[in-house]
Amino acid sequence: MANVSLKGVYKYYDKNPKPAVSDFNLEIQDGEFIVFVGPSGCGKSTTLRMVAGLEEISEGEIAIEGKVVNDIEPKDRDIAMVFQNYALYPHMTVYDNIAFSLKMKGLETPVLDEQGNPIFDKKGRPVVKKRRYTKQEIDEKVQEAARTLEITEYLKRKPKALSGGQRQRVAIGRAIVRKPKVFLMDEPLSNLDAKLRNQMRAEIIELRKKVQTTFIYVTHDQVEAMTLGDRIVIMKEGVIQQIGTPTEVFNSPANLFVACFIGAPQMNLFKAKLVKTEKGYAAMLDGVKLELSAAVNEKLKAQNAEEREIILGVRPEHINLEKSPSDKTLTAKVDISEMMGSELHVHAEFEHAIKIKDDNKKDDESEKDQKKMIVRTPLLGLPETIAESIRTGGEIYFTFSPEVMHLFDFETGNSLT
Amino acid sequence: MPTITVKDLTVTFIENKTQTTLALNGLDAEFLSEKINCVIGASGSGKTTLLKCVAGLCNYDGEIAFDGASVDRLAPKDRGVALVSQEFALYPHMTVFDNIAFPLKVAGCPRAEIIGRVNEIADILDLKYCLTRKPRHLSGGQQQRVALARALVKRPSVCLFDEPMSNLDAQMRFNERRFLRDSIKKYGCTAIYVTHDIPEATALADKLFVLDNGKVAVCGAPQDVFTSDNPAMAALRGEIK
Repeated sequence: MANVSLKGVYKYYDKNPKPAVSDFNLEIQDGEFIVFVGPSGCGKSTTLRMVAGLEEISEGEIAIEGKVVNDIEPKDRDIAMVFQNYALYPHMTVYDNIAFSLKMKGLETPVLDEQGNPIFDKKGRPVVKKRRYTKQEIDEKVQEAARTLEITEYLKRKPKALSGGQRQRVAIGRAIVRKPKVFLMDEPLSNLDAKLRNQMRAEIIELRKKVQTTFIYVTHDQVEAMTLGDRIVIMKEGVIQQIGTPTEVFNSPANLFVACFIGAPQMNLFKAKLVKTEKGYAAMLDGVKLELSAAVNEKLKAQNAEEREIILGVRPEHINLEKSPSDKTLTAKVDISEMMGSELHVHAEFEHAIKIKDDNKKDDESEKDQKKMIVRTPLLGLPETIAESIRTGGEIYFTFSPEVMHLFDFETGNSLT
Repeated sequence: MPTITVKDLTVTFIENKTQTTLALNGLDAEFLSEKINCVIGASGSGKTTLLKCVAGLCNYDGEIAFDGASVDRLAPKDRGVALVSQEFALYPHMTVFDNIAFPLKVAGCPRAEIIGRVNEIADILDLKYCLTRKPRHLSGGQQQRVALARALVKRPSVCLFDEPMSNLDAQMRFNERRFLRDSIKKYGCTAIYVTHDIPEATALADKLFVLDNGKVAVCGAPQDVFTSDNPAMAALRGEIK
């Protein structure tokens, strides 16, 4: 186990003046499970490879257990890495694949003097005695790793006779057998099909309980990030957007990118106006005045916020459907609805709903997605009047409580709360 | 487009000299014409084998008929069937246009017709703006739509789907479902859609089938099947909690 610290880390690639990773600062605690998540090209794998020593650090400092490792070779960093494509030796059995690193590495023990103190050489480095692991030691360690990962019965097979999930377990076995200080995983589940992915996710949670090591895990899948991480680092274009526990990033996203990246279906965004009232502040949306929670009011008062246009975010599961319209309800027209097992996803058109730009589409293509919103509601106990208007594509009336509203700056997209 | 009737379908896989597995065990089913028929079931229940039989990619006992006419003796290419699977299997060196046009070129369609048909399907699936790109420059959802377009451009009478969305992230799936529904409606083909994702199946299905041990355990309207107390369905519901 070890803590890992990244201070002001930058990565530049030749010819490209824009950094692939910029000003990355993070303190990872001993035994913590950290997940780097973001869309492809956000710099998450680059950062991980810098920790591993597979990429040079352009600027800044990376330290493992307080020791700066910028110039230390990957093999001397005491880390283990699992890759997306497993990288097993095809001609070796599972047993030999797992034993390989032990055979290569050998065991270093400090030489002690008569009083039992370590001896240092002229340059102040501890003198170590290097020896190979004995066959019995290797066997014990391989068997232990195989038991942890439940692959004992496959030890004699070659990788080609294993399924994707089993291969990935062997790759993990090869990493844990060395008992590294830090465990690095680069999208280890991306090559598996959806069902195996769910199963392996559960197994990684189990593994984490068994081997108390510091984990850094890279993924583009928000579900993996939310279920595995103690803390999540959300990245975009090389810049950290937010660091926090899964609950923090879900409940208090720092900006529009995080708000839309985490949660499925995506958070609904509305173009609204921040107005001053006798009590403090309120949001105006489609002529309806929406009260804000006391905490939000406090924060806005502290900022001395001006009246202006804002973006209001509400998650689909936080929208309440009402039976009849009133001066407090908003109105949308049902587009289609989908029965998702025990709940209903209602897709509706609402004049003030907006979407942030999708970089993959041209502007006129993104336009089509505007004015669309989604409501998630349980099927059980849905009043018949509402169910009827959803079925027939009629109007729905909705409200949301002050606690579930997220306020973002219209220009910068940063959270106002 | 055909109603597909499957009668007493049995498939046995030979594992080794002494062991065989019964993948389908006298399965009977009727798939609605021009609708989306979703098939769910635990792994090993025979979902994918059923698709392979309909496509003619696997040997079977029993009878499969399109609109009453038996297709048992027809080769896969003569059944008018298209298959979309979870690997998109696009040609990486071809543009989106060429990928979609490929089956038409192979069939020897005139150039003008190819352009017309590709543009039509690209319009429905919102792919017009990326026709000149190569697959690696597309998102997963877009690649999946190119695979769908390539399957539908031949205007097959039957379209089979084997977990086509399991490689897409949750946020993309709604859009992809909408495109799938729109295109099936437009081309009026009979769709059989295999998935292990129950919400996805209930959202898409006109008729829902639950497979268990190589047989249909229960089938009908999605709402009725989802709430049914059939043990196979109850077990699947347990999985999603």
